[in-house]
Amino acid sequence: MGRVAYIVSMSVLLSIVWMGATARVNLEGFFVGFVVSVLVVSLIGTRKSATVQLTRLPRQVFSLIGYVLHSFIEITRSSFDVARRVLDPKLPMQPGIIAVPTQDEDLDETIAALSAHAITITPGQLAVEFDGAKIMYIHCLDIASAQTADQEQAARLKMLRTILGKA
Amino acid sequence: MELRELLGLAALYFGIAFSVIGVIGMMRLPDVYTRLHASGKVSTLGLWGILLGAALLLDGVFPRALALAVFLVLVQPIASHAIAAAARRSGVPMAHSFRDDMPPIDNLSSEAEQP
Repeated sequence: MGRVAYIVSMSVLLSIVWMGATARVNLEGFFVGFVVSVLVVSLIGTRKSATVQLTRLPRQVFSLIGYVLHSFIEITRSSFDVARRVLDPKLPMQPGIIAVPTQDEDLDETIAALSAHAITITPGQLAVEFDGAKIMYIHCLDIASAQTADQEQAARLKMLRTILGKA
Repeated sequence: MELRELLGLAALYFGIAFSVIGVIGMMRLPDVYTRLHASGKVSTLGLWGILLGAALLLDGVFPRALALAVFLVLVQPIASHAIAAAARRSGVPMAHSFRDDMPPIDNLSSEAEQP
């Protein structure tokens, strides 16, 4: 799968965004979006952060859907958790900054960025600083809830690698 | 009243309630870092509720509301991270710190070595 496949797959994704943004969900809207997307993607060029392979594509799409659902549940949970702490008269929290390794051997910056994004939307955690793509420094609202951070990161890394076609 | 209208209003009030909780958090929590938790995440769910309410109550808004919701969840953590990193780099202390694994910024290897 070369440059053309990359441009086409990116353009299909961007066309869907285009349809949403212009609120014209029909074939015409899709084609206009597709033409614009092809132009934009060809101009930006192919920065290889994801590998698209036809044989792996179904698995990648399934993991992506699973990842989105997982993130949605986590966002809802984290919001209720933070809301509960905020409304408690005693303000129960033990804030602190912990170091979490990304555990990625290739030190891929895309994976580090996506991990930090996922962490920042999970319960009471907020990525503050990076040490290259190796270690993330995370501010936690409650350091007790952060003891599982390493395991969560391992699971997240596996999902992200599947989505990006690296495993 | 139609069911759709009722659900829309419920989503709208849910969103407003969460936004209010976000503001209460901003006022109650002690420092920048903890306040970012309240402002960022709680307001994400609050805005989702308001967008869902708009999508249910108004006609033909759904695709745009969906695009906005996705955009919000992609962008909001970046904003939180940028504010937190800026605060940390300019040496804003934590109000109560139970643990701090992070070395001073100068000791991080990243900035100097990367091309």
